[in-house]
Amino acid sequence: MPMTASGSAVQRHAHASGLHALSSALANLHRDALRASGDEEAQVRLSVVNIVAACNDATLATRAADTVVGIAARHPARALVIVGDPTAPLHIESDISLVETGVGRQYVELIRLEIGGEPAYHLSSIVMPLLIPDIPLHLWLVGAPPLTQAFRADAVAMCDRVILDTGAYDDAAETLQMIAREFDVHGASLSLNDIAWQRTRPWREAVAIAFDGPDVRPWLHRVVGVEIGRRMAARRMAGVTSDVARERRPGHRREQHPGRRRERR
Amino acid sequence: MTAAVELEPNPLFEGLRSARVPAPCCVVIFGASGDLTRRKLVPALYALAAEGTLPAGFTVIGAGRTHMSDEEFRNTMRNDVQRFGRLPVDDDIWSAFAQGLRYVTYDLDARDGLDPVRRALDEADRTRGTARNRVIYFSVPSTAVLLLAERLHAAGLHEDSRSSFCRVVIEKPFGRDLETARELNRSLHQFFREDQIYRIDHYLGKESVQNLLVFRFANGIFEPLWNRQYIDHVQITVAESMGIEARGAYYEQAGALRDIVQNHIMQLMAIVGMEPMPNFQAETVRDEKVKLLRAVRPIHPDDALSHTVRGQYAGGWVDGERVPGYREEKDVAPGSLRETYVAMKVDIDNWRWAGTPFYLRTGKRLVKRATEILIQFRRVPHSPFGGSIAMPMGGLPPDAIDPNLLVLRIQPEEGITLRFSAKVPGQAMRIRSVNMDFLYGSAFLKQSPEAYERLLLDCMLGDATLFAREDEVEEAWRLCTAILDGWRAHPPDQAHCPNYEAGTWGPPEADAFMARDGRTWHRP
Repeated sequence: MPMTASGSAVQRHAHASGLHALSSALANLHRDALRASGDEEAQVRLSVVNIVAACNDATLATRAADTVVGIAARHPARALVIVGDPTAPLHIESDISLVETGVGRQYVELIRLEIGGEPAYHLSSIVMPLLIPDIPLHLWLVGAPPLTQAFRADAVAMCDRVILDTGAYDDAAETLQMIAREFDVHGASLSLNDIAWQRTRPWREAVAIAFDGPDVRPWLHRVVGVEIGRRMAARRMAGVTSDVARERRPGHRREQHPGRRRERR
Repeated sequence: MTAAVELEPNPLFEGLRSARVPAPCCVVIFGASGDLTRRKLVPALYALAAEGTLPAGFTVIGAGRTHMSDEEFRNTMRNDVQRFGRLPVDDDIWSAFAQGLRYVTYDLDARDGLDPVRRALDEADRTRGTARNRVIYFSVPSTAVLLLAERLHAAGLHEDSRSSFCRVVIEKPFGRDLETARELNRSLHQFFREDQIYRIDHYLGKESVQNLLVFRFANGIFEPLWNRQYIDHVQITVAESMGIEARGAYYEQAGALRDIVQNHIMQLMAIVGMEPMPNFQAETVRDEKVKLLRAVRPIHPDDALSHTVRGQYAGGWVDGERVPGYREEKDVAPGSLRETYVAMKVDIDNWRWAGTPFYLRTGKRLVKRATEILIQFRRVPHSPFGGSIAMPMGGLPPDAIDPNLLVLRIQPEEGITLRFSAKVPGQAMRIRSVNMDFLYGSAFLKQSPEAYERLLLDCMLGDATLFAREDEVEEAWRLCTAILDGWRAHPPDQAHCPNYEAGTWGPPEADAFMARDGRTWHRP
């Protein structure tokens, strides 16, 4: 099995055709890593999450793979980065890498899968057998793929969290409305992270700090108007900030929305 | 029949690495042209030879009803070892192994139909020094077992002595229900003593199942927790992604309960739940397993439906491939109601387990192939981290803390997982579950032996620890027969059969079954 070093991270790679070959290739990589370490007692894998990154093309897949490796020390994971193309000839090809996280001798297991033909419509039959048992599954919709498949009942039941970026869609407002409808359908079983919302974090912090001192806090409830720029991020932030401010106002009773409460912002 | 006498250990083996070399012997395989012989038995015997665990003069006599020369048999077996074996074929080792390979035809319909086998055995004793030591493997249909036993007895091939052994290995099914199992045992005892009968359940030969015994009884830290006080419940899952392959006719008669639950799952449950044994002798281990099985609360047939869930698969997608439904498989009736999935709850009425249920499930065409035992511990009685952000699974409240899990994985990725809560690095107090996996399969660089290797060797050595005794089989049937009776009285509704799609974790009723107890199935 080839081994390379990317920056400080030691990587071991293998290629496999078909799902059965993939599982044995992954086991062989672990065995090779163990053999190289010369320490039989060290073979313990720590993992906290399965990440499935669904990508539309190879460029996005590369970006997703880099991100997964980048967060591996904090979120040790098995990551499946998938590019599915139902119009391509039938194939299931995978590149498997063990990349050292830099913490002890722990690895992130990165599996890049290319799926062509009809199986690309049935990704759960490919993904499910490859998950590490009993830890959460986070489905990351990389780029701006159509959301219909991600919000199918079986996909929602399978995933502990769906991660997407509403900022990547041409019509973010329409996307947000669609997501709101999905919350109505699935209720508490749908847990969602929006990267676009995370992107506003520095601004939210700045605004929060601006109203944090005892001298300025009373002004929070005396805001009578906000000028919002044309960018969607500004509108998103203004909307949610005013929602939070209204909710905290003394005497205010918020209209309950069971699904929306599950959104982790 | 003379009772076999245990020989004293051979002092010449003292200090040698492997003392587990049996006495010179001959293995006779009835059904030698069948799948089991080709895929498992001969590859396992070859692996034992390659690892130096077989005695000099070791002989295999393949006995079949089709005609074949010794040379044809050897060539076929070499190809099969190459194809199905754990180890690649080495010319020198094969050459030595093949010298002891013979093939003879037999005819059960004729009274003297085993004469060729007897002649081959006599010749092996004379020319290869096998000293009348015999292991006779019944790789024949269950309908032929008793007739073969009778013919062996009539031909005097059942005899052992103070200096020689004769053991028979019998494959499941050991009956179709309690009554037929008892009848089979009674009949077999007309021809062989119980200590000559080795009922094989290949699950017990798996390294990870034996490791389960070591895990439980060689680690002091778990025993104090291994009871109703600390364990909320136990889940045993035997999931298969395969369908019934070419076994439609068999499966129509058997179903998942008889095929998997009565033997493999009951054995796993017995090992998980049994009391510590004073030593690792066959009888003491099996005594403890039987005690556990006897403590299982009987399920009255009228309660079978409330204690179990049945399912049958429809077509779907597994491993990226479209697969047919059960009723579309070869030799399956188009309107068949046979179960390919079972989930059930078992209560054990003893001091250790009262109030801690065991949930068992098995199914064909599920998401993946996985056999595991999951021990879910009770939650902490109070979380001092109230208000902290936790990340629980399974739709729990956001400040709930996941219970600890211990998962003993039998296949395909053998290992042990411990799930515990840990603080996420950072300023905030955030708690999340971490899985710590010990990958047994890759942790030891030596390849694990196949189950049949271990079991065949044990049988040659006369160690019955990992084989089922008659009372174990009957106790397991006691529970399963009551369920079968209940199911027979209440067949599934055609409108709800099949009730799960291939490539899922079974019927939705199984999830509701767990939800009724406030629990969920874990994802293997």
